[in-house]
Amino acid sequence: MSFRTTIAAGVAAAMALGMGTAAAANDYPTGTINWVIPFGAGGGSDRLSRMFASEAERHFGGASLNVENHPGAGAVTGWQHVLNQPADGYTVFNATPTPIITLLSEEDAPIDPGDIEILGYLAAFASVLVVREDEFPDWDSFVAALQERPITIGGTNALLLGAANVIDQAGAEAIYVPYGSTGESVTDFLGGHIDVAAVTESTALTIVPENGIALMNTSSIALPDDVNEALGNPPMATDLGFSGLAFPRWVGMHPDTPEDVMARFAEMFEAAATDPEVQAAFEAAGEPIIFLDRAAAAADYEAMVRTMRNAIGLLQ
Amino acid sequence: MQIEAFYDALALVFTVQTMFWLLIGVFLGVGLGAIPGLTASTGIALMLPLSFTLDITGALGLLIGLYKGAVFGGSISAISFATPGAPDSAATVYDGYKLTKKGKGRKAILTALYSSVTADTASDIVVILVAPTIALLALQFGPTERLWLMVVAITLLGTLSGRHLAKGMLSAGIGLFLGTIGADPVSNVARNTFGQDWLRDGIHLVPLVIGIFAMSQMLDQGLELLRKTRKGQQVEKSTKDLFGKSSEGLTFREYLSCWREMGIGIGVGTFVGALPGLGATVAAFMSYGIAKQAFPEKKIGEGSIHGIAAAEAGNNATVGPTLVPLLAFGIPGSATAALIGAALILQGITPSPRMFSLHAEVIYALFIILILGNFANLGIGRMFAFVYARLGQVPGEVLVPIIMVMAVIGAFAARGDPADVYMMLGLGFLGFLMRRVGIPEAPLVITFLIAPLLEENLRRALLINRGDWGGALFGSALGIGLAGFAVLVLVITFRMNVGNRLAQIGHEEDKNGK
Repeated sequence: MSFRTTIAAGVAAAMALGMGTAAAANDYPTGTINWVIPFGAGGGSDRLSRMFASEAERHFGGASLNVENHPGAGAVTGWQHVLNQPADGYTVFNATPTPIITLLSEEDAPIDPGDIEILGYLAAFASVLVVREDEFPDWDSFVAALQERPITIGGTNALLLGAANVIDQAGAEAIYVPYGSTGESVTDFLGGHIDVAAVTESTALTIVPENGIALMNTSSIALPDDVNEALGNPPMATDLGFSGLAFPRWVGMHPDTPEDVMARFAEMFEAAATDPEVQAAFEAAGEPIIFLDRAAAAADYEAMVRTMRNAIGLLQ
Repeated sequence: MQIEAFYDALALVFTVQTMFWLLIGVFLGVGLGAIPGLTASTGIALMLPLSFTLDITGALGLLIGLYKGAVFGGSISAISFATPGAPDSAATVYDGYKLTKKGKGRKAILTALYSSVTADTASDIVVILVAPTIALLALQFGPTERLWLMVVAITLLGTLSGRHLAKGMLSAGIGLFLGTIGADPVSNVARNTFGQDWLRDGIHLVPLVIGIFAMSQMLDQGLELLRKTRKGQQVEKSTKDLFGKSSEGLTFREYLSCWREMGIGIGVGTFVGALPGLGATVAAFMSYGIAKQAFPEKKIGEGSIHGIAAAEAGNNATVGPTLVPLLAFGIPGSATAALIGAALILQGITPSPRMFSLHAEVIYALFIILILGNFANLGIGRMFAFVYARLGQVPGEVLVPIIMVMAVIGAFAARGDPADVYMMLGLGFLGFLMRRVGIPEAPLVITFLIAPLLEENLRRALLINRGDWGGALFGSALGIGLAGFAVLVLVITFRMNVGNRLAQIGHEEDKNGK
């Protein structure tokens, strides 16, 4: 085969591939969409993904949603798996901040937190600072105390990032004490071993008002009204002039996926996440849907990664 | 007591599914216990992936039932063939097998069953009464105090090490190292991973336990099979009609006459079980040893039902109390407790003192299952013990490959990660080598469980005290008290040579038996 015919064959093949992609986009989706989560079977993320797959499948144009667990390496294995699949819209990645924190803590991370196209948020939990009212009645007294003496804040790494982000913007410093689970940090808070617990809003509801008050919601996304009220309407980071940090359950795709496929998926995802029946199912499971559409989610994601990159240095 | 939570718990427990899984658990447990080489830990490790697919009470029923059944089941083969089904039944061999040789195997097995169930029930009641109070106290335990509690657990390992303290410590050292693999608990940076990404999450409990407890034993037994021992066939002939209906049973008067031995077993078992780090084997030997010294007139060791009652009450009395450190402090005191803790975490419930207020219904359900499990154990043990006695004769050629396949499936199924299978096989080989040179596995598993917790708490204590070691270690009276207790345990272990003495009891009896 001559050099010229090789090139011709290559061009023909490329055209055929290109046409194939275009055709695929037109009738996307058919068959099975693989819904990849970077956590093992049985955990909270797994439960929610499976619930979404069964409740929301009818919004995905006849395609079926198949949840795949790819745990490991601080939730980065699943991400790498998604990037190794064809960029055809049939592999979706549904994760939390966990893999982002892993990638940002790693010195030579295998991939970058930007190696994904964000198509929506399914939920976004907040880091709420819970304190004892007699020690810190409000945010100003808390900041004043931070200037005077060392104050210990306990929580999981993600939630501590939310706390460090606002405290740094307030020009103060604190001692961040990392815990493997929120349960352990709350136990130490209740026992009086740490001054502040950084917890999600659902955990905060188990502490407030009997054992503490919600000092601040460090998130960039508002809490549902009833939750906010039950927590005594704590100020939000943005109310005090800070940029906040939310912790989303985000959904994304391989960045090389054709744009029309991604647009179609984002539409279907929005229809599913805003369906009152789907929302009621999540509400009943105690994990209400807080939906952000593609544009809003992508903007928040970019800001979140930037903020986390800065805040992660504060924890060490 | 929150009466509403109690009603919720009743509704959770008294369902067809929960009862079904509890019975299945006990049924499998007694069988696994009766098969030499398979222990409660093996069984729970193999069943854990299945339990993840059940609801919370079903999972607890399966695991707790299996545990209770297996601790009793070990006595069946100890009595029938002088081969303890699990190490915790080793003390039962001395009297049990002698009774079998006298044609009183039926009496011996019934003694084991009744004393097991009696002691198990009594110690469960103690747990139900005491655990909520301990959990309230546990809030006083911050990082410093928890740190010392775990040091106490490690110092207690000396008694698990048998005659060779150094071998026990080597095992503990391997466990400590395995426990540090993965992301650093404070800065989240990977370490000791040898550059392997898949080690970043550390070594998981399920492949570790399956590898160390199940695979290593099967490799060992597989090798024995290749060498083909003839011992098994000899036994087969002699036990065929040992347990016929015509042979002597156990009268109620005889059962009552064992009350002192059962009392010793309940006391020792409850105490030893509640201490993190020790377990059924130590309790059985201690209880047996104390009863033997206290009542020389009962001729324990020469084929007396009183020896069986002491040993079997001792090991079963640890079942409930082993959950106390888990429920109260979130510290798994044994491999089994850690597996039950893993099942709880997968159901979204982190074991901690707050469990009693946040998930009171789950705690009550667990208490109810603890008690119900004893009735299931009694019923199933009574009906099938003599059938199970034959299980010990299942040829290794059948058993070893089946368990090996189950080990591979179990290691993969827990998280669906193929790396876990390689890890399990590697650890199985490690466990096999350790068995060959006489290094005990228990200290490895316990330090593996405790090492990460110990490190986290030490580093948190240091962070809270801004790097001041004095404050981090001795910042509270409770911390100093626990540190003193750890030193005391260490001194007693060395001065009194506890590990050696426990091993000695076994050794002397072995000699007497010959």
